[in-house]
Amino acid sequence: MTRKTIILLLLVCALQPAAFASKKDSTKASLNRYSLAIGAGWVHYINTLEIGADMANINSAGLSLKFFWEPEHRLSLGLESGFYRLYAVKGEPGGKVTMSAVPLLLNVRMRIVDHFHLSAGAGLALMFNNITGGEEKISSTILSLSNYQFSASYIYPLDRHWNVGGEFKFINFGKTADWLYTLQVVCAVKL
Amino acid sequence: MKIKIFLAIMLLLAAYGCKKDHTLPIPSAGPNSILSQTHPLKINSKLLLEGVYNVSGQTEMFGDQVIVKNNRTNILIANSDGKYIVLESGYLDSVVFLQGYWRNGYGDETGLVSLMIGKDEGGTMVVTGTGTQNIVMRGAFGNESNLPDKSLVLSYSRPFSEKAKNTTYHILAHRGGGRTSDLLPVSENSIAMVGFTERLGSTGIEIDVRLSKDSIPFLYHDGDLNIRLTQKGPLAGPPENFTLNQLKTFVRLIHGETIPSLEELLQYTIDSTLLSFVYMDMKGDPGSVSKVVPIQKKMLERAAEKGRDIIIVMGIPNDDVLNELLAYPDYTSVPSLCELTVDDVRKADARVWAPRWTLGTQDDLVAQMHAEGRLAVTWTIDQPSWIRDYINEGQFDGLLTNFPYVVSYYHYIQQ
Repeated sequence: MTRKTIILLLLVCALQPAAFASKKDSTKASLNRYSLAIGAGWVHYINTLEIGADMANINSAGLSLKFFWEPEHRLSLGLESGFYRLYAVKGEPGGKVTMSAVPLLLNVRMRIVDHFHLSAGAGLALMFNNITGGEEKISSTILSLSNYQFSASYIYPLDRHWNVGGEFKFINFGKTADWLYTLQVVCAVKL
Repeated sequence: MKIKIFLAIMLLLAAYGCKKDHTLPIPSAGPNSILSQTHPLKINSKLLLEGVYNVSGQTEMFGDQVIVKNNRTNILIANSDGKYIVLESGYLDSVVFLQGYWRNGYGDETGLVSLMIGKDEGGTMVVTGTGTQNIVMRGAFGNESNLPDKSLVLSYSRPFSEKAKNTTYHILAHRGGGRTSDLLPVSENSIAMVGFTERLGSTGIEIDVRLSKDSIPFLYHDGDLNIRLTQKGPLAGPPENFTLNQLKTFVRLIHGETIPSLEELLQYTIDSTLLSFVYMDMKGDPGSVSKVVPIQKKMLERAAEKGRDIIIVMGIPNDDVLNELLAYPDYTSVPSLCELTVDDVRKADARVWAPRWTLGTQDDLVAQMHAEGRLAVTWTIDQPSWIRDYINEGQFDGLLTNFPYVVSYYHYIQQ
């Protein structure tokens, strides 16, 4: 199955939650379960800068958003995006430079034991480089084609629909050879 | 699960595989070098060393013949397939000592070289700077920083031919004198590279000129700031997005140098080197012609004041730059190098025609350019066999290359 087909399938599936919500309860397992998760938390950039390393602020807050198709009891396939600030560097007389990223990754997730999942994914990322101070603001947007993540999460069900938990994740941005890790609180809803 | 483990391992391998390696340390004899106890050779003595030498000993490494050429900083020994030796020199009594390193320019092999000229094998003559050239250099070379252990003997065969000595052939080195990807110890398009390139046999340089956001011409080749050419820093994206001040603050080239402005680099070239040709490759940022011309004129005036015979030409790589130049007042007074057709050369009244080498030697057109008082150089030839053919069969006045030592060999070995 090509990536394009999978993405198309995911989009079609995304339009169906309302229809499923109106369905009667059934003890029969469905092959078309979905989940939507939002996460927020601490982001730490693994400082590999050779220039400005000692002037860099490498801790910040980040957001993630995930949509998973859960066709059977262990494996899930999904899309992940988010917003992460990698670093902010203050340098005189150059100004302040920030680097942020919005990844779009195709993930495979596997439940290892109850509520505990491992996940890996790869995909694209848009990277935003801004420089301010002294002179006018300058922004550059860079497309990074080769990026990947791997993560571990513990998601505890509160009821049939709502789940909360935590996630620890590494993300690599290939274009700039940057790494970050993030620890997030995750709230997920089964659709 | 196995698939996931396999995937994780592959990702880690991919990450490791992307690790950059831009350095090949130059082997050094260190503080115990015999040269620390010698007297420096005078220029007359170094010039006596020049010529074609026969190789004996380990001929599989350097072939049967090499050329020995003195330059501003060192003595270059070059062979036909990209192996070269860079040597420092000195003498003690009547013995000449030569120490340095060898490199395979097409690979990453390197090592120490140590040679000497005994007093009865030309040493006395070299030290006094007089006499006939009957020199034998004896010594050895090694691998990396190990002590030289492979025999190497160079025996003087003949002087350079009159053709080789009397013809001004411009050996133009790419990207300020050498590419970062060729594992040189200094970064491309840097002032340090301009100071380094003569030891590779270059007599001129090509530089890549861009225009910063605050309209200052500077040097950088690629269309974006990347970890291939720069140390990892906070800026990313097209370099022309940033002011020169920002580039100097936040960007270091791969070996730590700052990005130079065009004016800084030209001034260094004039003041501190013997390079005789600068080919400014305009990367096409709109408005760059009108910013480069005043710097070019100022630097040519500086060269004239210092008695430096140097050609500094603005490259015309495409119609956009050509049209920008033609719109510049009194454009015929701007020394330029046109990579387009001979008609475009005449239109711009360019001093130099520089066709792509794949178009052939084009002897008739080159002859036309010469008849009109223009030079003709070609770009960019890297294969030794093509370099040999273009030097032996073509009529060009020079060529642009990433391997100036190979061009030196084929130029100076001409009969």
